[in-house]
Amino acid sequence: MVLAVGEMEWSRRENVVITVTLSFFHRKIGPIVLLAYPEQSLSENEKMRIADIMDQAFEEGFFTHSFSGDLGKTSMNYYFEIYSDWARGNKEMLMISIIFEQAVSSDLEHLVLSKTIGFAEKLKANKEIYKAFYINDLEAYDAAERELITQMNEKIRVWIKELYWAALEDTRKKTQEEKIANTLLSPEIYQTIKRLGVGPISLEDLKEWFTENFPDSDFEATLKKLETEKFIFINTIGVETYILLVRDVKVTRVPPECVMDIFTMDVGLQAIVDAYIERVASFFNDYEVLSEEEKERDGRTLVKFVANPRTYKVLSQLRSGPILKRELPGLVPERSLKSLYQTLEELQRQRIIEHFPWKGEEYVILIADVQFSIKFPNYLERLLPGRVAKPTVAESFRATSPIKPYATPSEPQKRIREKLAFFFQHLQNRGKTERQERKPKATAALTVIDDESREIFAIEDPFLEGWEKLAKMGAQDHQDEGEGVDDRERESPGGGEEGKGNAEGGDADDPTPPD
Amino acid sequence: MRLKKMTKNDLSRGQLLPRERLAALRIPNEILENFSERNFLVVIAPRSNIIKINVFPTDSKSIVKVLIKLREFSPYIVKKIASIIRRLSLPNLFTSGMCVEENRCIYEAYIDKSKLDVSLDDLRASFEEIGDIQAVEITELNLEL
Repeated sequence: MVLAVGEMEWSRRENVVITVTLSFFHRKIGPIVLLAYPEQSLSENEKMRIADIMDQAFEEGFFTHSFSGDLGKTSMNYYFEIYSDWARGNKEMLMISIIFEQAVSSDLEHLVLSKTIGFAEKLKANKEIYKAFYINDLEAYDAAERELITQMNEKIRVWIKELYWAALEDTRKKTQEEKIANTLLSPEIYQTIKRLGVGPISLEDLKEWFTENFPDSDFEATLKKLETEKFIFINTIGVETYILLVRDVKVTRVPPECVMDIFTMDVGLQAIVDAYIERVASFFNDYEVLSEEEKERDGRTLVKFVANPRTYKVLSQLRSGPILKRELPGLVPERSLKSLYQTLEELQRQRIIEHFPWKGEEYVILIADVQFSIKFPNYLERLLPGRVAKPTVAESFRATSPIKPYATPSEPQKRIREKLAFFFQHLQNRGKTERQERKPKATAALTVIDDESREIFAIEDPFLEGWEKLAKMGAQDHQDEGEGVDDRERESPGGGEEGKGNAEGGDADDPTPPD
Repeated sequence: MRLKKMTKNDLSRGQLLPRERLAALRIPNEILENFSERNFLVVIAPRSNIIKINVFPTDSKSIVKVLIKLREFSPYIVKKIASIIRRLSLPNLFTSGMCVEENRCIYEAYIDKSKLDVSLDDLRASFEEIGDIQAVEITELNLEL
């Protein structure tokens, strides 16, 4: 059963290969696959068979389909309809399909399904998007309509790609991070990666270093493992052989994504979300001032938790949201209770989870999620022109799709969502080297009051400059400002006069919003 | 119409039957021989102009059907379902969901009871906690002898 050591083997699945298709019912031809991504992954015959599945759908909903014969795949299909000025009955019939090369677990299927529903909601919210499906009939429309058709088609293509990457992230996340954690668990592998991070090393020198530091370990086996996992490239030119590190892994703590899901679902949960965010912010205030060495030591501890099936199960569960403490015993067989509580203690000691009392109940919450970032090694990164990592937590939070179909988020929701996105993006950007050299002079308290709804939102962040500007920002202004976060971080320490003054003189306990 | 023997090039087997013979539909032996399981879950899904029948081999003697009534399928609700499936390690055999009309949607899951590690009451309670759902119904299907 879940959450117990030895009770369940965490399956070591390989990466799941997927294809995303969008089918629609053409008024003359019938169901066709309009778009597929990756584009060349399906033959015309396969596309025909996928489009035919649409005949099985009559009402909005989802169903799975197994392909027999040489296709040998399964698909998760979501059928829905969107408004259309041009289609019979004023509706276009569409089906989004995620085709899996191999069987996936039911929970993974559902996670991917949630993404396809999000995609459908995006299409439904755009009253002009139906035009995208007339891309092959351009000659029947005037110039102005042709341009709009092309624009809408481009938009859908981008959304399909985003859906693909989101679905891939869901499926890959559950296999790659465990795999990587298990690889990094071995100290000789971990240290060899660090050693190679400074630049290519000759095979001879590396072997000498390895033998000196890990006399009881197998150098050849370690190299083979690193090569198989695509961490290194062994390059032989003439008599020289060099080992090059081609990808590095950074293990860090990030704010848990589940907070955003709770927020977008129910505005009535605002108070608990605010309290949760305060806890997370408080933790990251401490985390961000750690030195690189301390963070790396912390990262190695985090690797152990992800590699351990017992702790990883709890971590995975808490990623979905808080769990009521009193319900925990009901989730596992009695014989597994002891190891469950041991797991929770360990996670709490490492400040990955916390106990969270709220209105007479006690919850177990994820304070800091673990993120494995695959990146270029430092020596390679310096050579790459102008790369800026996209913080996935902030980006996924800055969703522009509506919360429900046929509805748009309220203005207060949009404004506060943008501010939260700015905050999380700021947290993620704070790991940069420039920030590490700056010490907070005081903790600045930021209270944001939405002008119309009077909802109050509080952030404490010693590095948050220009916070009084943030308090006045609307959603649209903030979108522009958000891209300036990186620019502000590259400025000399101290920031602008306004921000500096407030950071120095600010009182952490003063909830008074700025003018 | 005579049945054609299944070969590797066949994707399906067709039969044309009068109404009175449909009640005693037979699955040809040469298809059944491909499966070693002793029992089969048969899910019959009538639609407006088609009857979909899915057949899943299983060794189980008891299946639990979970039916959830909700207003809509939202990403949040489906993620919560995914979370429950993962947390309880639900051995799903088949799931589907459909909105029969606006604001009236149904989610169904057929679960192998022999591999279920929680009680039916706990199962129901887990799904009821999702929020924004109208009802959870749990039915047991026992092997028909």
